[in-house]
Amino acid sequence: MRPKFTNQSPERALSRPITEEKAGLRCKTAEVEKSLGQFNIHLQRKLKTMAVQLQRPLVAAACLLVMHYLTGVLSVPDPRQREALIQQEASMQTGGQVVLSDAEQRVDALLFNMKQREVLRADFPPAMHFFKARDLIRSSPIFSLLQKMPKGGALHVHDFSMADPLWLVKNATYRPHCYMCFTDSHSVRFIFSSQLPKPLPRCSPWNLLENLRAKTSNTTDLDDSILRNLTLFTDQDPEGVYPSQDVVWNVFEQCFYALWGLVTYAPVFRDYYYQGLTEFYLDNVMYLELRALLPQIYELDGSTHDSAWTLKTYQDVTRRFTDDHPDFYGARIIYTISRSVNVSTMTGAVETAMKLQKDFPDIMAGFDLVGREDTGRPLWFYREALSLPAERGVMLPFYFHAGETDLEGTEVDQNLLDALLFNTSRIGHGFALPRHPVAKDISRKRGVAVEVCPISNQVLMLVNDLRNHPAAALMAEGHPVVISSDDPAMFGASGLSYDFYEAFVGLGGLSSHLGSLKQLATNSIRYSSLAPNQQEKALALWQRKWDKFISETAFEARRP
Amino acid sequence: MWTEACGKPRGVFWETAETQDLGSSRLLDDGTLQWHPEMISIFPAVAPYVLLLGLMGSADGMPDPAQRDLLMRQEASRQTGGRVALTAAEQKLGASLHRQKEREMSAAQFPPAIHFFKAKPLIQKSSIFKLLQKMPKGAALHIHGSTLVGVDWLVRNVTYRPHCYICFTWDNSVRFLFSDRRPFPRWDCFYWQLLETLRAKIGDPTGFDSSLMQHLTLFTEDPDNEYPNQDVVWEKFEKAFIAAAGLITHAPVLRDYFYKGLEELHQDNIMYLELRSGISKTYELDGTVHDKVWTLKTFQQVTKKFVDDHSDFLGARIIISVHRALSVSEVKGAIKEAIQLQNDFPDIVAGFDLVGREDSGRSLWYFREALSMPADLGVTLPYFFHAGETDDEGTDVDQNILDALLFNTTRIGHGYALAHHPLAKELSRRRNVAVELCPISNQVLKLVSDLRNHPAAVLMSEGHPMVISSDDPSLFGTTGLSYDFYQAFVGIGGLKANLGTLKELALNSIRYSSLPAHLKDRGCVMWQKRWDTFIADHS
Repeated sequence: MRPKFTNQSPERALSRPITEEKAGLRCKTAEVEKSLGQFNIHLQRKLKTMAVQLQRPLVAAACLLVMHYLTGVLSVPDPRQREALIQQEASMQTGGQVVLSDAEQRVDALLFNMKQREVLRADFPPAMHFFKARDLIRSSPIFSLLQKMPKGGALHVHDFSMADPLWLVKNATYRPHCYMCFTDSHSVRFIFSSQLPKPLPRCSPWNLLENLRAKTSNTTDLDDSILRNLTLFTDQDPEGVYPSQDVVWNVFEQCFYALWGLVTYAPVFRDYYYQGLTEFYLDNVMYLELRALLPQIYELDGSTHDSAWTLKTYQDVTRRFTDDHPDFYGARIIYTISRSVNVSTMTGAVETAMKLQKDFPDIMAGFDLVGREDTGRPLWFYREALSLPAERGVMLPFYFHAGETDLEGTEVDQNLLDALLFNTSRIGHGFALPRHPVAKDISRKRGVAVEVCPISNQVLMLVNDLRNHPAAALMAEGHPVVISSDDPAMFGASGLSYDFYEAFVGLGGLSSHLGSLKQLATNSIRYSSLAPNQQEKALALWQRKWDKFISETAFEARRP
Repeated sequence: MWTEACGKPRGVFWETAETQDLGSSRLLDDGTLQWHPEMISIFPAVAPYVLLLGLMGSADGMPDPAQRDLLMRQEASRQTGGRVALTAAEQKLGASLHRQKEREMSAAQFPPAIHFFKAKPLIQKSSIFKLLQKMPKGAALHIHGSTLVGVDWLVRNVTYRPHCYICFTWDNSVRFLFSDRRPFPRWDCFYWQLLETLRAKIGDPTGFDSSLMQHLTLFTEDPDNEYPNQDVVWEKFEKAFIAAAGLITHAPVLRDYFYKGLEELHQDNIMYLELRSGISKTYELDGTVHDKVWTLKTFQQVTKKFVDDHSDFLGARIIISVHRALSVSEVKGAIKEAIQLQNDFPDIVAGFDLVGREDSGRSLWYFREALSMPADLGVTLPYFFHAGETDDEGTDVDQNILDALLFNTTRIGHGYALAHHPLAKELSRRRNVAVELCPISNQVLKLVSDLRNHPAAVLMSEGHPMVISSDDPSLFGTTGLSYDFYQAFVGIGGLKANLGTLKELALNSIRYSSLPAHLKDRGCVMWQKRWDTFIADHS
């Protein structure tokens, strides 16, 4: 399962001459002039040429770079050279080498105007906490456009925070046999049961919600209070409610305990997942890789199902959903377990994962560890368990969370390197990656994409102003990244559009453009767990949607 | 550029050993690699690591712990100071520092994560900070002239001098003026009062003095509410500058001011200063005005006197700076003048810079004609440009970093946005153009709130050439460099930054100074002596 690093040079793999790339170190003035001349023609053609041809100005600029270094003093900067360097830097960013069609350029111009206006706002949404910025974002024309845009796949979403918590309240808790109790710590717990369930420790006696609602004069208040227990989102000042990472993570976990009894009830489980897919589908997401705990799912009589049943159910519901929505490509599952378990539990989980991978190759994508990294165990702690697949020669792709931390230099901070050493297929978050130059280079060279979840990192208090999100540096240098939403329901978001907005407007600044968006969308398919032939199919499906989106938006843009 | 005593700079040589970029690859499900031509870059290659990883692909599964160690060490060696060899005594001190840092990171309140104005008392209690105060830190290369000396001294010493008049402006600021008679009313304030008389009338002199200090500094108990956004904090910033001007530009005060400034730095174990200054004209009690040459001469004399009084102090130079709100022709005039002054005072004048808030000021490219003048005239005027002190990515102002480099800047002031400019970053690294990192300034001026997220964390982990400085100590309530060193070492560097990092940062400040080679050598020898004593005292 480890990569075979061939000696084949990338130049040979690319269908263009080697000489130009090598020339970068031995360029002469004449060559620079020539390349610059060519580059100006390219500029005039306004990027209509192919990306491969664009490599030429890259060489020119590389020459310039070396020349500066060698010659030292340069009198007045030549505006053409300056322009070439600016273009060169712009081409390095995510999507910097994407060639845009005429229609796409019109949409891009439209987007640029919108962004310029947005940047000038006194209350710039990416600089604010998402809970306060959400209404502003909703009224942003960029956001409306991003909602319509086909965004490809959502590759980092957790199983029980993918659908609107309001759906849980209005749909799930209104089903018959739903019991609720209030915990000592002002949270709630649910269970569906055909008879009165056994009482929980540190929780009030169970109330049948039906009865409770009948007794309550104002069910809206009751529903609101239930809702508040199922999400981190709050109308109050988020900085006041969540003063520290510890507090916000604690509430985060409480929310999961609260909704657990609802979503692990078999009928709700199926419908919740279907509802989640619907929300992503409506947000113009066409594919999903869901990190799922595959917990025991229970029935009304208390009987339970094992993880294979749960995985099979995901498969069935996904099939039903794609049957209902033929332009949705599908979904796959990354089996996850908490990073607080002991080694033998982890070993068992890896063994289960290998078995599931073998039995359900279509739906099962791989394996991951979840939970807060700072308080959990580092990957290296589980090294023996995580080596099992390779030892046995069994294929189990890893999709590790790593570097979701600001504790630089600690044991947990080594997770990034270890994830790569264990051949992770992608990196979840990778918030700390730019601080790890070696890990960053390996990730880049091996095409291990970073799943950037801006809103999650802000709400969980790793970063305040999203312009300071470390992934801004990654995007500026075209590091492989995809955008995802982590736990949209917990953060008051939905689908991917909010996170795309933050990434595009906040992280990308004025430099990112339609090419960046296109690249981010295609990245989500290229870096998915899908096999190459499936990726081609998905890309073709995405391209049709994209073309439609562009022609519609370009048409709209023409109207006064 | 590099001298014997200061050692070789890092970053330049090892890169040449690296091979060509391998392009980007992607691991497919079948375990093979697929090359992605669209991701080719000109980044420093990492073939060695890739090869290393390739070797590890043996069948036994677990990554080889020895290889893992090697990669971890490789990464650690890339950070600032990662290749500094430490003596046994240094290692001992380093280990103790590491333990102290671990304790500080696990405390409930982590100073670099909170606003400096609230963190200051915590930092003062920190044992790391106390050590940093004693550590010989080399040079302060980015400090502004009118914010060099603490407001405490300005108020308690300068405003208590005779003939000091004060005037309260309509926009709730103050102006000071020394004069042998009552000054004339001005457009912004009508009524000058002799401070001596005013103080006699006021019952609470301590309260009055601290209210004066409030006008001269940004420091406050509740920074988040007082400065809700960048505009507000910058407005107060400019106001404080203007308020201090009347005090500092009084000729007798300026002399003492410079001396006091050097003294504060010296007490914080700094041995050399490069001061950005507009070298304003100065005035006497009777209204006589001295020109800029007088100011430069005074600076020269005071520096000489200070060095005579303190043999372990190397000296000070000035980077002539003008505001970026000026017109092109005004900047042209300033550059002409700077060329002249550099010619007349080569030992004191280091070069030229533009100051003021970048976001609302004019871009370097706007001044391109003026900035090309030295080259056109065939003279050398080294530039030390502020650039990239912004979070407005992709705007005109955001091009300042690249333009600074194109105009051959010697260092980059702040370079906050550098990590977002891969090409400029590469250029800066290859040409050894150091970034002057001023963490507290960036936090107070609201570019970043939690200093662990300061973009220089990336630069530090890559060993990008950098120095630490304090920008405007009096405005931020700092003295010397120790507070900024603390933030850089504990916050930006995290647990990874070690004694080697500190050593490298200190040495960098001499290496990347504007001093000629022989003085750099002298500086490094002086520094090394003090460093050895410091290590001997603390291990």
